[in-house]
This record gives sequence, structure tokens and C-alpha cells, in this order.
Amino acid sequence: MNSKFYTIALLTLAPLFLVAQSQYEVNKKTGTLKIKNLDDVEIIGYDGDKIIFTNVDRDQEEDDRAKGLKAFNVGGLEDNSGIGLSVVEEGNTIIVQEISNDNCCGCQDEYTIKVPKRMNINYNYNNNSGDDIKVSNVEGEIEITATHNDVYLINVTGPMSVKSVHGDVEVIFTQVSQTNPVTVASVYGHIDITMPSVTKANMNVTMNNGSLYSDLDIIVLTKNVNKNSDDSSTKKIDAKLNGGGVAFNLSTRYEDIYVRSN
Amino acid sequence: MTDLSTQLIDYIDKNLSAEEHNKVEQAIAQSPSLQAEYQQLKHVLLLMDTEQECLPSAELKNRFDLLLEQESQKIEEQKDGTKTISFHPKSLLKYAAVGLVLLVSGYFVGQNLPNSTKGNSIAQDIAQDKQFTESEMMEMLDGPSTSQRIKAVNISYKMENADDRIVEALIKTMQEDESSHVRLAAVQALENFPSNPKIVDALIYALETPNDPMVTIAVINILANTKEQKALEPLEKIAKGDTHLNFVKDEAEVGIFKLTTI
Repeated sequence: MNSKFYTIALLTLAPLFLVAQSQYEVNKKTGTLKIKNLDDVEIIGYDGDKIIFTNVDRDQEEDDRAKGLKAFNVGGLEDNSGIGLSVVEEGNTIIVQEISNDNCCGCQDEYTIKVPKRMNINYNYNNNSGDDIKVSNVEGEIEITATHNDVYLINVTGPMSVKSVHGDVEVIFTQVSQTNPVTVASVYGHIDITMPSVTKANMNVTMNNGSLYSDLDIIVLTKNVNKNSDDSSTKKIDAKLNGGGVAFNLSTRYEDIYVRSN
Repeated sequence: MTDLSTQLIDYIDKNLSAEEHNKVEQAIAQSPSLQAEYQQLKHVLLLMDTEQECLPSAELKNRFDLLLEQESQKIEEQKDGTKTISFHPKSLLKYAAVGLVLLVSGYFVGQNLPNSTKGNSIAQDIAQDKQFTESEMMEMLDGPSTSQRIKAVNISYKMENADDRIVEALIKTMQEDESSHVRLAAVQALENFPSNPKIVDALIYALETPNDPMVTIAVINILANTKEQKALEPLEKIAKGDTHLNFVKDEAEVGIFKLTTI
């Protein structure tokens, strides 16, 4: 009877124990979350005062073998979170880096990070491959630097500075902050922006080999702003949206730019 | 305002007796100014009927009631020895409402007017942008926010003849800013001052220095588009060397092609 009871209790509680092992929390409500070299990640803003890191697909077999041991990587970082991340606080910034030395596709763990929605996000990943980066419900400043990742920002406000060399960048604004510029750039990917039709903006659009598509009331002030260039393939446009407002800098070299109302 | 004009709203609302109605009708037909007033009022009242009801805040309503009461008292005080213009209370309220509607609709009509009539507001926006002084721009360039530093770089676009101090600040930003987004914005801003020889030298130096690939591509494009022959040698080094990613080497090849054949 007793052994059956303990067996059932252990089986019932085991999943909870495993979930608890995959999470790490930091008390932090404001400041910047700086994420370096973490490929597969989704960042979700929420009304809270903790940053909650979750390793979504932890390799349990590997964990069992490394039980009681601390992971280190070639950069000298240590897994101080217990879920494969180095999490360090420097001033008002939390710096997060993945410990794994596996850089092959599919080998790295997948993470979600819940952040107080007014925190600033700074994401940097420069590698020869890249998964999607998703950021949603964040009202702080967003800075993303990527090479191969597609970037999806959903229900955000800006300001932001986003660039991906090979990836597409898609942004859905709930509203557009008028404090500082929105800058989105790609070389080989498209840019797709959705925002309220009442958004006030000064748009600077560069599309060397693509086109701009929009259903918004964009007033073009100057075409081919690049007056110093003899290169006819370089297309730059200065435009006003709803009388002008925050600077909205969009550029892509080989693909199109879409700006639509939500 | 004439006696007849005070009856226009009741005329439009069909609240006049048959005799008064005919009298106003004839007056409108004979007086172009009254006809214009009639058309404006009719349009505004139509707008009032079709627009969604907008309820004022309790504070605004109280202040409006107080103002209305004060105006009524003044009219009472002025009765002796002065000509009295009779306002039907309902008409008075409607005129006040018409005034409010004209004010509000004027704002929104102004927002949505086509390009030709929008010049003034655009000029105002640009004037607002110019309010930043050189020293404010420098201060912003040292700020902690990436998007604010991009905003500072954007201010240089409004300066037709940037002095050496501005150019040097942009060059320093291109070379030293911790964010590749800001360095990229600085490169794009320097493109606007091609006559300054310091800029060409700084761009050539930037080609020879390890940098973010999108910054390097932007530098290649500027030098190639402006046919800067000094760029040929560093571009060949990039194209033939092993220090840059393949897509940067491809852009260097395109740059060499532009410099040597087009």
C-alpha cells in the first residue's frame, strides 16, 4: 500500500519537478535584457516584475548524465541558471548567453523568456545559421542584430533598431512611440510593417532593387533623395505619414517593403 | 450676425412658421453671403447628425455650463440702452456646438488635406526638427539609448552645410559607436556630405577595418556609387581575401564592377 502510494505520488509530481528545473527567474522590472548568441528564442512581454527564462526542450538524457555538475563553455561562461544559460547582472542590464557549445542546426535548446513589458530588449546573434526570433507585447526599446534569423515583432510600440542580413523582418505595431526612431533594415529579406493608419511619421525608405507597397496615405516629398549618386538602381524616398512625426527608417537591398494599416 | 442669420438653424431644422420660412428662403435667394452661410451651416449640421456622439468629460461640461451662464448674465446686464439680439436658447446652444464642431472638424480636415495644402504643416515639422542645436545633437550622440543616438545622427540631415565639428562627430560615430545600428546610420548620414575630403578618407579607412557586415556593405555602396577610385584597392582586398563573409565579398565585386566599367 505504502509503496504503491509513493510510486503514484512520485509519478504525479515528477513532471512538476522537471518543469521547475527548466525555469530560472530574476527579479527585475526595468532596465535592459541583453541576449547574446541565443539562437532559438521567443520573448514575451507581460505585466510582472520578474524575468522568467524557460528551457522549452531540455535534453533530459544529457541532464541526467551531468547531474550535480556545472556546465562551462569555450568562452569561459558557466551555467549559473541551471537551464543552460549564463545570466549576469551588470548595472541595470541583465546579460544572457547560452552555454551550449553546439552550433550545428537543431542542436541548441529552445527558450522562451517572459519579461516585464516595459523592459528594453537587446538581441544579438551572428552565426552562419539562425532560427526565428519572436518578440511580442514589449513596450520598451528593441534592438536586434542578426545575420540569418527571420525577425517577428508582434504587438510592439518601438522605438526600435532591427537588422538582419538574410532574414525577413515583420513588425506589427499596436501604436508607434513618437519618442525615438524606428529603424528596420535587411539586405536579402523583405520588410513587412503593420501599424495604425493614424500613425504620424517621417519616412525614409531605401529599396535598391525592390518596391514599396502600402495602403496608407503616404505623401512623398522627394524621390531619389540620393542626389549625390549616379547609381540609378538606388531608390530613396522621403515621405510624410499623417503630417509627419517620428523618424521611420526602412531599407532593404534586394527585396520589397510593405507598409500596411492594421 | 444678422437677424436672419440667427434664424438659419431653425430654417434648416424646419422649426419656423410658414411666413418666417418664406421670408428666410427669399433672403437666402437674394443674398450671396447669406447663401454661403446657409450652405456652411447645413454642411456642419449634416456632419453633426452623421458623426458619432462624442461626450465631453464632466470637467469640460461644467466649465462650458459656467461659461454659458456668465455669457447669459452679460447679455442680461447689457439689455438696458442697447440693441438686443434675440437668441433662442436652443439656437445658442447649437451655435456653440457648431463652433466646437467647426474647430474639431477643422483640425481633422487639416490632417487629411491633400499634398498641396499640407505644405505649411510640413514646414512646421521641419522647423521643429531644426530646433535641435549642434550641442544638443552632440549630447544625444553620447546617450545610452541606441534609437536616440540614431535620432541624433538623423538631425544632421537637416543641416545643409554641416561644419567640421558635425562631420567629425559623424565619422567618430561611424568608427566607434558600440551599436552597429548607429554606425550604419552614421555611414548613411555621411553620404550627404560628399564634398568633404575627410569623409572619403574615413570611408576608405572603414573599408579596411573589421566591422558589421551591413555597415561594410553600406560603405562599399557609397564609394562605388560616387565613383571613388581610391576604393578600388581595398575593395579588391575584400573580394579576394578570406576575412569577410561571402555576401560582403559579392558586394565588393559589384563595387569593383561599378568603379571599373560603368
